[in-house]
Amino acid sequence: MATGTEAVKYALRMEGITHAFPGVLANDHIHLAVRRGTFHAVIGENGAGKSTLLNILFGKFPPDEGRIWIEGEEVTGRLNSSADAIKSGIGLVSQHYSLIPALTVLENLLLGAEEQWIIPFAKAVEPGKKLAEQLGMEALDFFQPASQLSVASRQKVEILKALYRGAKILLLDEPTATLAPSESDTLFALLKRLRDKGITVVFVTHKLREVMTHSDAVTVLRSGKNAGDFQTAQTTPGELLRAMIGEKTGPGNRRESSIEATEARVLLEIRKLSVSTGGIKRLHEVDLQLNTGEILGIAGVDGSGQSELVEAVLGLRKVDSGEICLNGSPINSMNTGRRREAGLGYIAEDRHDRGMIDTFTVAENYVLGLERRKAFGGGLLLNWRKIAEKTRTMLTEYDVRLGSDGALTRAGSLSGGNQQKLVVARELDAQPSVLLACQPTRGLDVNASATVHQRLQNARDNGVGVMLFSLDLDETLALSDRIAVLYNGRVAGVLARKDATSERVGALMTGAVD
Amino acid sequence: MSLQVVTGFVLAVLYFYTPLALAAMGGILSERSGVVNIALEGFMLFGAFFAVCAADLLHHEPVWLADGAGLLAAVLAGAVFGLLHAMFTQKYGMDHVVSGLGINLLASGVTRYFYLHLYPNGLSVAGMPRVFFVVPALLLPFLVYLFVKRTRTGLRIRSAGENPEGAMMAGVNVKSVRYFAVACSGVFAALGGAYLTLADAHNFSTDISAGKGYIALAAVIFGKWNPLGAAGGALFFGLFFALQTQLEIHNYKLVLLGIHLTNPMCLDTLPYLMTILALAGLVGKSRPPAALGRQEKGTL
Repeated sequence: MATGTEAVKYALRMEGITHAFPGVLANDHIHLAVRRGTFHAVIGENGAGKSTLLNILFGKFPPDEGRIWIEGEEVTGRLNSSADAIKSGIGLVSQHYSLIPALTVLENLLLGAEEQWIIPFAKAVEPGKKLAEQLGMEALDFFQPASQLSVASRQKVEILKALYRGAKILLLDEPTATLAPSESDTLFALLKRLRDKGITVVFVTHKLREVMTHSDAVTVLRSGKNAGDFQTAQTTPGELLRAMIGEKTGPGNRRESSIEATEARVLLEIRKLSVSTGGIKRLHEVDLQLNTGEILGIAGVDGSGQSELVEAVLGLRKVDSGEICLNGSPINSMNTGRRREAGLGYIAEDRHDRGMIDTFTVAENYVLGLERRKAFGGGLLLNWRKIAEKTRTMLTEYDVRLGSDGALTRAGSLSGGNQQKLVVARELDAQPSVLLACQPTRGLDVNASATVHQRLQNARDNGVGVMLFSLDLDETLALSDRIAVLYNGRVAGVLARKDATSERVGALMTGAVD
Repeated sequence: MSLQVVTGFVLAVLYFYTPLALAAMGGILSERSGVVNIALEGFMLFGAFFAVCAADLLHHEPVWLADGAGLLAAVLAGAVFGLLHAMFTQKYGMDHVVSGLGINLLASGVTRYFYLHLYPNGLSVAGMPRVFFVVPALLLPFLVYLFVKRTRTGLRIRSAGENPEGAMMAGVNVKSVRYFAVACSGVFAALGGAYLTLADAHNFSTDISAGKGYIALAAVIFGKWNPLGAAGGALFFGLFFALQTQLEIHNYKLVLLGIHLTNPMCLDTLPYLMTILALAGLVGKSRPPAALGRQEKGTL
């Protein structure tokens, strides 16, 4: 335990921080020590507990256990709101920017830190302008609505806002996730200038390249626990990567494809696909091919372009350019319904959002999207007897446990595993030629996951092309016949199964290699 | 048209404008903080009833004391029921429209019951001149405008209505800001109600607010959630109420296709018809506060 003069070297110290969400231990006795005036990176995979740690520090929720010191003074139990954290000298630039679009830049700057009841706007802008000049933002118009700012300027205003209220410790949650590379460079230059002025910068990321180039020290988290502290100058990307992803073995439900590579033909071909949102390019000329009888795993840290790729293929999102061909014919001009009829299946990442309707019965959910089939009525009225019958057969086959109401059970009342199996059953029963499986086992227990994995491999063996999107590298490595890695919206590499070691994939995912 | 007719008409407009504007300013504060407020109607009715009750209770005292008590009773009633609406929506996460509807039904039932039981022979109060309400109602929109635009509390109210998460991260206590804004909204609407009984009718009748709370809300929307715009809306709707009564008084006849358009029953619909037309067509693009009526998940 550091005391006295030693403690004062640290701008921030956290010891034994533990926080549980229902069912997940997000932080398990995490410690973090950040020296004053340094640039400290906190890295880890998705779900490593980084965001939880930041939220605890910013007073969003108190930790279940643990102690916190700021500038050597213990603040345990005193960080109960954002206002408390701001008072303690902490500023947070969150992933989802907290500026209020309808207010002006100045109003955003002042909000929560107004000194007088009648706000003297003309006077209050002066310290803001001075700060902006120091940060190289002379051109900032303080009286324009925040909604008119670009994404990069919005982030700078967030930093300005934190400094305006006297932040000595600046926390940034994945600050470059929405920035173009040149904007990222500008941001890091700005942050370094702040560090040289004595501000302590803590930034959370999963991009190793940024960490190696810009940080002074690194704390690695893995599955809610500490996985190592490093001085950036004395470590290598490989060492950080090993700490970050650990030893990946992968579960043992893997079966080799029963389809010979020579028989394979191209099912889905994506050529030079570019997609952007809000003026930012999210996919750059992506080329991918999916063949019959293979599972193509798409690996990448969250936000590397996976959801844009899925949505572009499904027709849920406009593409800038590029061609998407299903079974040899272009589908760019088709709407989502037509694409599904042409042979696309989709296991949604969030089943409650896109996969099913909680308040519908199991049978109603089962027939969603298949309702035009002759077997289910085909005309004006649906034949519920037939639908219920078919639902029951399919669900017995997939081992979905229904309540006493059978096919009339409300889908929302099923367990998560059974809901997911219902979605998988429906999508596979539509006999797609290509299945987009997004996080197909999210939130499922080991047995339910194994069932879903079996079903996906069975489908592959029957000739379906499966594109697997998973943030769980273990799952991608376990199931895929080939792995394509996305990094910053580009295909960083496509690896055959035998070349795809976790180190190799991890390095591509985090941009540690070119 | 004689000068007398014009003056009479202008005064009539102002008399209708006053309760609408008072309630509309309440609506502005509540809605800018993110809380939908159809409860203005109920607040007005409670204000109208408690004001006249208090004034009646002290009718042996000097008039200024009875009036003062009436105003105080309206203010208190508005604050209490405003806080109730805030509590329902902010503490118990009730849908804002459901909570407002509940308060309106409660107001209608409670005031009717007590009025009929306490005053079986009706009641009558000396009350006060209308000008005591009209002048403040003309000034209030400017004050509310400055309050919302230029003060700390106003800024926080706006931030709570636009992006409560962002406001919270900036250190604003969103819940307490909303409690305050909705309580103020109750007070202003109740004062609008007090005008109806103390200054206009000098008595009470069941459901005396007669939808003026809803029209005040329409004025808020008409004015695009801007205090000066809402005052303009109140003036606009007041104009048609006045027009209706003037046409009735002067017994003006307009017959079209055999229908007597200016018979009292047709005329009575005029202000409401104009409200619908104004909301449907005249307002154009109007953007409510971004977080208006949203049920927040988790804690703020």
